[in-house]
Amino acid sequence: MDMWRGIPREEIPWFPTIDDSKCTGCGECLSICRNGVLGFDESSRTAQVTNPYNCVVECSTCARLCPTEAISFPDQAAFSEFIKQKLATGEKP
Amino acid sequence: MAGKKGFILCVCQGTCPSFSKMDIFGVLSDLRREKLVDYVCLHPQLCVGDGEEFLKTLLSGGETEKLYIAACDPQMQSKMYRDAFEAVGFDKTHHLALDIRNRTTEEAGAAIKELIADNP
Ligand code: SF4
Ligand code: SF4
Ligand code: SF4
Repeated sequence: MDMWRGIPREEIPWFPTIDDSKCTGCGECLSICRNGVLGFDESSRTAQVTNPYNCVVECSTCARLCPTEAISFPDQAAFSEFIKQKLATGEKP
Repeated sequence: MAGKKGFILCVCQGTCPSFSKMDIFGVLSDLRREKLVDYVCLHPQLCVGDGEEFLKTLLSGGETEKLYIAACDPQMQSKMYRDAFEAVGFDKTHHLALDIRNRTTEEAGAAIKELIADNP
């Protein structure tokens, strides 16, 4: 998606971050996400964020279901404030 | 009195490409016309905090006997709703889950009707 509610997607910092030290390479997140956000690095046997801006804004399903809590997202309160500001100034009719 | 049958459509906020082939309100309206369930509703994101709160509030009175949820993969659904069901004592076997990602309006409607017919 290029735009999200009138805002260029790349201006919205919502995507997963994977802590390599916690990732066991189980593949759960890769089977959950249908949006091509994640890939698998064969050498380190861990999941990687390959297309961050394919991530659905405010989705956090992979983090919720990762068995080792290796996936994190921006702080909810700060992000809510950011998106409120963005929508107030950036949304086109 | 027999318990009620409810239906929830959950669509990853409507911005996920998985739900872009489907007319969300069309699916709901078609289902209402058939009167196969006692109520239908749309939720943007059942798997986060306020979604769980919604499930708990909806089910806490014990009136719903069967809850059909069309959303993501059934295994994902059961993992994500488990805590809410447990909190209010809703029998998880009365949650009938359907994956309707990447379906058209017609495909989604047909799959929902089949789920309800197979699990009356
Ligand atoms: S679900 Fe978690 S542990 Fe499994 S591959 Fe993804 S990030 Fe790694
Ligand atoms: S948050 Fe959702 S869209 Fe983003 S990577 Fe995880 S499952 Fe995919
Ligand atoms: S419950 Fe499933 S369909 Fe609903 S928002 Fe979460 S991942 Fe998407």
